[in-house]
Amino acid sequence: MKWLTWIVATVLVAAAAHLAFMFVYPNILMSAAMQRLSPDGAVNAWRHAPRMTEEARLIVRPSPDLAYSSCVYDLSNGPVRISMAPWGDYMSLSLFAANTDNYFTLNDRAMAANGVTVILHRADQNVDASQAAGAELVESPSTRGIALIRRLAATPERFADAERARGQEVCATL
Amino acid sequence: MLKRIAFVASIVIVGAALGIGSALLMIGTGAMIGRVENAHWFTSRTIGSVDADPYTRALVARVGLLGLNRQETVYYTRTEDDDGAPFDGDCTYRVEGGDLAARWWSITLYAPDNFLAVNGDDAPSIDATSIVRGDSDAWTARIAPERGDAVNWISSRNGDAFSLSIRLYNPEAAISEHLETVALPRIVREACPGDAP
Repeated sequence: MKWLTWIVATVLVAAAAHLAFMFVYPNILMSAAMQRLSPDGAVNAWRHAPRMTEEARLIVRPSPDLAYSSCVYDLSNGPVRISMAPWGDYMSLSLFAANTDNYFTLNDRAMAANGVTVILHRADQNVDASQAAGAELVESPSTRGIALIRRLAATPERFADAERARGQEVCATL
Repeated sequence: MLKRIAFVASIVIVGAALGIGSALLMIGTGAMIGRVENAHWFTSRTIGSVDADPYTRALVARVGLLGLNRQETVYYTRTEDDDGAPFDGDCTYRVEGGDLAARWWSITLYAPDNFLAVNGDDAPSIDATSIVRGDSDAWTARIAPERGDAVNWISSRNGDAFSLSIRLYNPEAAISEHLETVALPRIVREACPGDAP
């Protein structure tokens, strides 16, 4: 009887540990990714990655044909404004929650000619109407996450073009 | 009293070890609910999606972090040739494909550590903007440690048991609604060191 109790209890603990780990694991890897993308801990600022080569080790399975810019956002001090402009070829802005979900993506074909501004906020944060004028309000499922810009730049020449197009993006607390 | 503590502790320790161990095993072996197979390529309908199940989300966190949802991009991966044999970086493969119904596509080779193979060749991928096509939209490419006379080449040097990923950006409905049947590139092993002449 005692062995039966042990086996049943162990199976229940194993099942609970299995599910708990599965739910926590993406958050652990995402947290580590945010640390790698912002090693100095700075948040709400764009960082522009160099061309993805065999030396790139920040994020698994990088595309060598894309130019990446990332912003680790943190809504602890209020909503964050993110803006970017098209550059004449494929590009997209994508937002990732702390559990890795890609909860928002907008590419150049869906943007106005002068680009897009997103006001990122939590469900419990209000955004002043004057600050939201002309912007798209997006609710983040988590306080921290990653904003990522991809620009198609399949050759060194196009990557140089992408580098010249960088610098106008905004990622900052309102 | 000590016996009771030991009894409970053994349940917790063994249970936790089994639970976490089995989770890591599933993540490591690529377990994915809703996995879609298509001629040796595989994908998932829920990569990047807020609807992803915990297993897909965990696997994507390990091998495809910051991947986009399928409305924006469809990703396929494969680890074996058309005969079902695992890829070998020392072998030569012929890739046969046509234009894919997406705004842009690429095929990239990754070493087993899920990063680009370290070989100094600067040839980790082919893509829709640079691939040289034949008279029709059809194209062929070579995956091999050396370029040889190949027009389109992906270097597999130091790729060991490599894998390939297709990225299909802004896929047309023909792809995103028919993940199991859309025509994807075929990959035929041509030669390996040690093959009989």
